[in-house]
Amino acid sequence: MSATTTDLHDEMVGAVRDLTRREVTPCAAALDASDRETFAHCWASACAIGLDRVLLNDKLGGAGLGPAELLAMVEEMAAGDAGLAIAVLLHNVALAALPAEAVAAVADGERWSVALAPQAPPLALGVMTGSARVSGRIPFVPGALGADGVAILAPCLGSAALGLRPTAPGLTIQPNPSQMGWRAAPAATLVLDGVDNAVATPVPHPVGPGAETTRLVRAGVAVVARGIARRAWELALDYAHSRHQGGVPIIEHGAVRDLLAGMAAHLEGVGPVAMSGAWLAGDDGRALAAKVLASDAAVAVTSDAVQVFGGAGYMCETGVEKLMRDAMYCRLYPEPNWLARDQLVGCFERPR
Amino acid sequence: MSERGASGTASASRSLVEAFPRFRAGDRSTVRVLGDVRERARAFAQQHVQPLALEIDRRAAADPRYVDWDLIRAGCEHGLLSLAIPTAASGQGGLAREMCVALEELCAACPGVGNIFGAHGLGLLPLLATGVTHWDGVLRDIAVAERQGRPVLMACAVTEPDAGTDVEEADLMRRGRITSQARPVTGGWRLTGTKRFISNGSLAEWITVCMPFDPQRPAETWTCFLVDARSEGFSVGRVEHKMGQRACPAAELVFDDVFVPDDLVVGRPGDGMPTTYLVLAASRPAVAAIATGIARGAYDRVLTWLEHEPALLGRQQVQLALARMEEEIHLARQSYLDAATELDVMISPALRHPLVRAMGLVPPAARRVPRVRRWITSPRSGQATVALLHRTMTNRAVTRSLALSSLAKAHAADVAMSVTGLALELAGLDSGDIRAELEKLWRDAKLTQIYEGTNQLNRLTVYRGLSRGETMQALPPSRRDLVGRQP
Repeated sequence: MSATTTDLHDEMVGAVRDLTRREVTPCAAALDASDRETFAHCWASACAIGLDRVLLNDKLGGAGLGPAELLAMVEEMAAGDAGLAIAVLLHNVALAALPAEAVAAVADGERWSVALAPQAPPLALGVMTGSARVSGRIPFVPGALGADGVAILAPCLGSAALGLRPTAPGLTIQPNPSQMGWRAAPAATLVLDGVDNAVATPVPHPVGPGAETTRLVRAGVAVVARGIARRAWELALDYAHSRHQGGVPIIEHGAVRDLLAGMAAHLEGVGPVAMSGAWLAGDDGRALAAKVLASDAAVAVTSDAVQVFGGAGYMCETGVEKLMRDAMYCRLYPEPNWLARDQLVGCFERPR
Repeated sequence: MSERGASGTASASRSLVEAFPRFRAGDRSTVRVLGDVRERARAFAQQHVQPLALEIDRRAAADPRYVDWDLIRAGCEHGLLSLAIPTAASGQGGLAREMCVALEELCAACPGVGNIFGAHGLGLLPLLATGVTHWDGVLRDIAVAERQGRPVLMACAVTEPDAGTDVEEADLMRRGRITSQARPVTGGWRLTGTKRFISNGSLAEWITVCMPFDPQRPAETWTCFLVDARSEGFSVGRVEHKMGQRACPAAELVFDDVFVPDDLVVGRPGDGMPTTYLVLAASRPAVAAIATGIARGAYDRVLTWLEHEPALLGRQQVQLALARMEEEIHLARQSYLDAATELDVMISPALRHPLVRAMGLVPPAARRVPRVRRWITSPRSGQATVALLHRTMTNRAVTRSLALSSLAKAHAADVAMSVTGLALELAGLDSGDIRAELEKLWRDAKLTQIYEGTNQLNRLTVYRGLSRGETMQALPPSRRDLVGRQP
């Protein structure tokens, strides 16, 4: 990175950190309650510091930063609220995946999400004179509910994303009945019934649906997981100093020290992987590995954080159990970790 | 794919001896009794609880004071409130094994609802551990009311705002911050203090509560009292918003100079700590059973869902995950049964003792005659109970039982977390309604690693009781050791 880019990077990450401490963390409980007013306020604040157009160039009103900067900012946001961080991540990924003319039509303050079509059953593409029509179902699209648009990526659509407004003919957005994590980004199932696809080139992409987009989503989930784990660690460490049992702060108990040490080791372990390995290497395998490692670590760290708090940690008021719920969703999206591990092996060639 | 075995794949359809292979060689009456309890609990769980579990969770999330009394009344019809009450007090005479087997069934459907009955059992335990004094009071009332379809619930209040782990271990308690206090007054005691995270606290009509009468010597003066929730000065404070097990509210209980008459002291004054050890020896296998039920509930649900996803079920990763879940559930179940059996065998000589059996043969009406009643609630009766405990069990036996119970609890709680997490991961986010059920069970599971002592505390108990073979002062002191303890 050049000195100028580094300065901008540090400046923006610092701005997100400040915003998170000032406005997001204090609102975490309201965001967890899917309070739309609180979300709108936080979203507006994020847009005000340019967090909605990180990857776009200046012609499109963006900061012109790269994925590494976006990931660093998303991690900071995730330490305040993972749902909001996921919304920021998917919005930026959506704008990066859409054709320039579609991005130009996105107004300031709008929020988009990304729908990664499943491999099975795939979306169907019917080619007709002058256009193509897309049909199928995309389950669990985080942040799709209440979004101003969704960028759809599927093998049948080629490398371009199909941008749809909620009012697009043939598109139905079905709210998910319940969601225990990332509740600030309520998910929906998209049902496409002959949606007109005049923009996309109906040539199947050789690698898959926006391989770079999927990689960025996975890397993003990895840094969200790390942000969640960081917050859990900070809360647990602070509590361990202030809570007394047996006449001493619980941090003096070996059992608690052991929990805290495990949390610290997890955090250190996923740091380099999640921060730099995932995207900078531009490697599917590393993005998958980062997502698996970081999300498993986040689940372990947050569960241990609740354990350090004891009964108080199980109560909603401390905000620790929320981190545990959010962390679990990192293990499940964009695919469950067992499937991610399966795909991970496919990223490596046989040694010669 | 090969055909399913005759027993079916889901563990819910298995017979008692399939779940506990050791019973193939066991006595038939045990199998019959446990099988009957299991079937009753299962019928209630599947017909009444499971269909409502998600709805109750949703409503209790919005309002933590919400409770489904109709469901608890339905539990009465299945005899779930009197299961552990002695037959001499009109109950069913179930011991730890019966409670555990029932709790596994209930919690496979909904751990929150299961915990209502589990916390009720916990509230009863101090009364059961301290002799015959309360047979003809609260215990009989609960059993009789249950037959009339009116649930009378109990709760046990031990945890304090500044003392969670501290109240479960004498050494920690001596250095801890116990803020509650019982003050002796004419004819009884005055209780002051706050108890926290009390399951059933806002529902119970009767509460067993522990407080010291000398704050400088809390472990030596820890005493158990039976409190009527209608008592002046007693109130329910905040009811907590919890991550899971929401069907069973956890409340803060405030005791503001609450009067408790002498005949509602549970055991002798100062015997609270040994009573706590006996209670934990019985309650920790129950938590292990709750955790096993949670794991089994998740396993059964994901397996049923996978039956409709043959492409997934055909993959080795999925098969290995299912095998691991099966393995962990099986071992957790055997560990709770071991602990419950150890406890039941340990207390059986006391239950079979001629004096206790003779008391059981005395008609309840005769036991309520004032002169007899006075003797039953007298200090001499308390001494006799302690003497009987010393004749029929040892400190080492209680220590070992508690350690085995702690082992089962810590192990099963970890199993509940890992199995529910695995099930959720197998199903993924695109699994429709089952996802909400699995998410709930995963949230519910976490509490089992925390209540009845954190897993860390439980494992330290295992170390002391089994690894080091220590012997705790787990029985109430005999008469000659009591000098200078009375308030």
